[in-house]
Amino acid sequence: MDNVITTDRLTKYYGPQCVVDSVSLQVPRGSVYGLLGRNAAGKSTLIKMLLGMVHPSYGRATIFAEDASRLSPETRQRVAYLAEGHPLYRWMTVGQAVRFNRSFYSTFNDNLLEQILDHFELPPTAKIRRLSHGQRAQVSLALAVAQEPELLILDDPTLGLDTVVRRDFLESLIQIIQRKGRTILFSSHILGDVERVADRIGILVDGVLRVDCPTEHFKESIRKVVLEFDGPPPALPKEPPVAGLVNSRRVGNKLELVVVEFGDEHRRLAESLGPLSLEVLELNLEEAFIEYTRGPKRSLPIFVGDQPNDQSIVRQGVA
Amino acid sequence: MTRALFAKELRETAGIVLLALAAYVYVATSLTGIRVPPMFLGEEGIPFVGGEFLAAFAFVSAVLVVTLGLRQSLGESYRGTFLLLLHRPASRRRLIAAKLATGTGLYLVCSPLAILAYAWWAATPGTHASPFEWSMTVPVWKLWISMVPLYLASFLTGIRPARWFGTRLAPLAAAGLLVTLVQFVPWWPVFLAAIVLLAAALAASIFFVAGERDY
Repeated sequence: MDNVITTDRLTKYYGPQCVVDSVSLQVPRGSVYGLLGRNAAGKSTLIKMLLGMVHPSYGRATIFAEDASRLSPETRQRVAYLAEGHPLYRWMTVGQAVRFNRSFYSTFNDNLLEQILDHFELPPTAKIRRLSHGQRAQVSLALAVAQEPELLILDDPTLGLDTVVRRDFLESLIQIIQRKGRTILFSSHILGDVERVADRIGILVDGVLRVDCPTEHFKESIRKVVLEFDGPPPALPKEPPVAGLVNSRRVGNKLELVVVEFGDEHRRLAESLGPLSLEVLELNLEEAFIEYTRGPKRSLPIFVGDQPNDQSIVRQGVA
Repeated sequence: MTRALFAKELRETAGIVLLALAAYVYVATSLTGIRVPPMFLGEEGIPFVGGEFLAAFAFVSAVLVVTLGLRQSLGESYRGTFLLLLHRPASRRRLIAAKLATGTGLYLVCSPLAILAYAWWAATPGTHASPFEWSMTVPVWKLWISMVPLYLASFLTGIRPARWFGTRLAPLAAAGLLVTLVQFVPWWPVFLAAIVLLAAALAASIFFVAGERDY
């Protein structure tokens, strides 16, 4: 399978601060890649580097095998980009925005655009400055889709949208995905959105890509182990470090452990503490993301690869 | 594509240009004896020599070019629309060139209207009790063309990232100083060469910054 997006040790410093740290990722053609991370994790900067809007300090990114920092107009023609906040010229009407965009694209699909605008009930005479944030997002999406892109890059497209508009937006996105096997990369804070549409996820933690694997693999790999004691839970032994242990915390008489690839070794360790009961809980993507990203950052295990196996989790240094 | 870019720039700068045109009309009419309140301008005496028109023209033109330059550059940054514009499938050089061509063109077309209107009045016999030669308009034409580098410097000021106001305004301040100094050069060819060189250097800087900065 060929990759539409490839980055190799992509790094960006703003002054002394490293906002994107040696990110290497591949987005295969036809996949839907969800880029996750907390605020200021480096998602927008990474996306901007992919589009040549920000120049990397080190490393390289390519889109359709072309250097991302010097994308040709021909390659930009194949890539649609929805920037965060859906910037549009607010003095334009929807119709003027359509005409402005159409003039740049030889592949602009007027019929499709009309269908989408009809679906969103957006008249061409509507002034963009009078539209709600959600409606501006819909206009942006309609314009992006009408250019018939092979790759769609969306930077937090549902940020600030209410639940209904967000659901509508995502359903449209799913329909777009189903057309012609387009490749989509999108960043989001809303894990439910990602879970619905992304077949692969990347998680940035402080600019480092800690996770790059299929969505299901990540969900299945993270487990919360709840140990109940008849008094205050004992402390975990500090040595040797437990591979795959992301986080532990005491809640009353309970000890909660967040573990990657829970296995016999972890079970033995848990049982050695002498709990009254031991429960292993599955997590949804949101819970898995929260538990994973709030662990000590330097010691987070890294997920890379397609299948859960021993080599897909790499133990990093201890915080 | 190019037409769409020009149309967008024209629409976005139309308000500024209309205000400037109103100011030029005010200057020209005030000095031709039609006193329009509020009266900021005095009597000029000899047209183009008294200095009133030159000062007023310099003021209005400077405000026009600085506002135009900043509107076209900083305006896109503040609205976040640089990300939209620069992802259009056209070279960055072409997108910026469309902006510069529109801004320069608008200034070069609309500001001479004031000079020509005032000169036409001054050249009409019986309108004022003083002589008139077209050569008397030379200082105003020098000022007119000198505003082009100031416009480019203003655009550069808007597009160039800087840590604080001092360094951000540096291109505008430097160009302002150079444009003022060059007014004292008595030889036309030297004057023109200096203006063209300054404008070329500023345009090159704009294209370089637009290509290398982060958005």
